[in-house]
Amino acid sequence: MRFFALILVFVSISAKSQDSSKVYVRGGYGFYEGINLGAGYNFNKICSTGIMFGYDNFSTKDQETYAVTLYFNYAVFYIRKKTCNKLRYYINGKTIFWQLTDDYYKWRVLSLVPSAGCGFVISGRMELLLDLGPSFNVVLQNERKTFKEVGWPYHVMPNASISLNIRI
Amino acid sequence: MKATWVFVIFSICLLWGCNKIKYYPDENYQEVSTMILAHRGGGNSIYQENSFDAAQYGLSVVDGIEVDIQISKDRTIWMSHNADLKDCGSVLYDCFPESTDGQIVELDLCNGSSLNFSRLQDVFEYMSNSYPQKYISLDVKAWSPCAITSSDILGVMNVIADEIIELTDIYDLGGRVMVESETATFLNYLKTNSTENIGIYLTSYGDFERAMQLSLENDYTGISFKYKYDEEIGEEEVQLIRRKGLKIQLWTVNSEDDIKEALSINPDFIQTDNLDYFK
Repeated sequence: MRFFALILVFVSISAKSQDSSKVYVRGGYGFYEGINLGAGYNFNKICSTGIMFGYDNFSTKDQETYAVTLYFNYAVFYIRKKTCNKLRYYINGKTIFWQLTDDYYKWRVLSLVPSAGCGFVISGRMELLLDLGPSFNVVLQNERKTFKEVGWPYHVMPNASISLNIRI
Repeated sequence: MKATWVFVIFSICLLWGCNKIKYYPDENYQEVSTMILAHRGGGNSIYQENSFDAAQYGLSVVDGIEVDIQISKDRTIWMSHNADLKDCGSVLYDCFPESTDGQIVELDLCNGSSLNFSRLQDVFEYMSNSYPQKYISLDVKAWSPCAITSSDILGVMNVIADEIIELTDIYDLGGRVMVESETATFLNYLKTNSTENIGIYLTSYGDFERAMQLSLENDYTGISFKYKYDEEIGEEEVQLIRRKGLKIQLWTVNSEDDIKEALSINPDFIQTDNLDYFK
């Protein structure tokens, strides 16, 4: 948690020195991203990029996962509804480096996740994002800890994530 | 819009309990007595490697033999470690897939007694008549093409698979024939097309973990592991692989100390040149 707090402080300080409308902090949950927190930068209304740091030891028993995610969002079209709410659909490319440790192995894996998602603008500063796409996983390194089981990360798995962006 | 949100949130909830790692279930663990295979037919005997004479000798001494095979233009399987053929005087030869059986026999005669080529069919026939309970492991390698007409390496290997299946069927050697290769595509073709009980082994030059996982994923019989090459292998690895329903061949175990050590970890098969140790 201290680590996440430090990131928040770092992002806040950085944001003050930049165009405040373009930098945002982001937090959420994703299957491969874990419970994550990070920051991003909007190039314009269409493109944004960012980094997230995640951790997960809740979803699957006896497994601990750390993840670093780099992502790039590209809004494909933008809909202004009759109400004040805005919706935008986007395509998204994520590179996730994750390390999973359980009783049997320690894995270091690189996941490439092309996905599609939609964003729901809650207020002028907040946006809720949902995305879904296949994750293509490549094992970079593995260490066996015991000789109890044989396994391997799934080569392809669906990945879904939900996150909240707050512009600073 | 609502449907999209419900779909994504539902997906997250579904994934929440999913495992990122695929674990393979245990099978019935069975203790086995290790079988010894004469490497390249006759091990370190006086006979030329991968020859009929060597195979005869190997079968008479130990539990089975391992031979390397190639295929000719006429779809005949010959025993040879290398795909290329040596020239004889002024007569030039390319390689097995580019040569007819007649040319291979011609080269055999040209070389006199210094180099003999034997057909796998003859060894199968001999085994079927004299040692139907012994084993034969066929090592199939993916060579670089020696000519443009044999550049379809996988196609050539699949023809080898067809011929192995046919020979196993003709000589009723189901359960006694094993095939080992590094080429998963070839092994998958063999597995899909074989109605006979042919053992399928993935050759590994040291990455035990990956070989074991690939064998489980593709439902192979086991792995053929190069002993003391890149990774050490011990009793725990052998017990684990057997608990998962796979078999293991170790090659090539030659010194007395290595043979004793390899036997102590109880693999399914050991390939050796040192037949004197088992006489």
